[in-house]
Amino acid sequence: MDDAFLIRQTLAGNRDAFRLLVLRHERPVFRFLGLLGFAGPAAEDLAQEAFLRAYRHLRDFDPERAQFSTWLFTLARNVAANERERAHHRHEEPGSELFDQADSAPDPLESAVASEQQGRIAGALGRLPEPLRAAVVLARVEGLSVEEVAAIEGCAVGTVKSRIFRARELLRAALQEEG
Amino acid sequence: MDCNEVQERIALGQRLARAESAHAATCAACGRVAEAWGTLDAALDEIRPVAEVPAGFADRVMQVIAKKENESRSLRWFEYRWVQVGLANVGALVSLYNLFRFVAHVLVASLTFGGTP
Repeated sequence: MDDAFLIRQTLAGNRDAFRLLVLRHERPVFRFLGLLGFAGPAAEDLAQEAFLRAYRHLRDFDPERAQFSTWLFTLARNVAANERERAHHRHEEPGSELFDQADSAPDPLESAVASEQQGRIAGALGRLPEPLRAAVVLARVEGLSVEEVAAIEGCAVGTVKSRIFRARELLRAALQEEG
Repeated sequence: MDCNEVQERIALGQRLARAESAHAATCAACGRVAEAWGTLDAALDEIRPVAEVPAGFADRVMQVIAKKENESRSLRWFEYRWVQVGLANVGALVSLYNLFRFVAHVLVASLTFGGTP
């Protein structure tokens, strides 16, 4: 059963088909949100909102234009950006959640860290400005093409390339500095 | 093989095709670029965060969807479309009736008092 079949089934009123879509894509969405700096209950709220939006707007999704996973990443990225905006208005440190919750909840990045170098790269990734982090995470960690990242970020391919390059320069500098 | 293209792909961290990798292994300029980014790419490749999906997440999503759909089904009486259209029509009719009465009142008054000096 591919995504397109499950989407058709969902649109025909089969809610169980959408449940299968959630099960199939929940892990990449949580991983993506984790790398954007959201963990624990915050990540769950955002992931839930992304899937709810996907369900509500499923008719708008055009399988000819993008893969379902790419579209889902777009939704997850938008809800994450909205949350970050709200956090900014609440005068919370943007992106601080990733590090603040390390004491209370298992952090997706921290739990992945198996070596000192990984710890350094994870820390440097967490400190990157949001657009740079999203671009490099989607491209390198999730393995999406530059065109797919551009579709998710809603910007030109050239902009994505420039963001990825800038992010990689900052990460490399951080590795060299701390190494 | 276009060195600029290969070097751009390396700098952007894109996976190289077999032919591109073979080229980078033999071309000094591309090899230097690959070496410069190699450590970072190796470190990024190691980052595979454990995506902790809370148990029962999909079920909770489906519960919220079901709840929202039930809410939208059980509309209050004034939220039904036909009630809203009906109320709008009644409002329009009342307005027309009042307008007619007003015009008729003015006309009647002018006919009664304005005819003879």
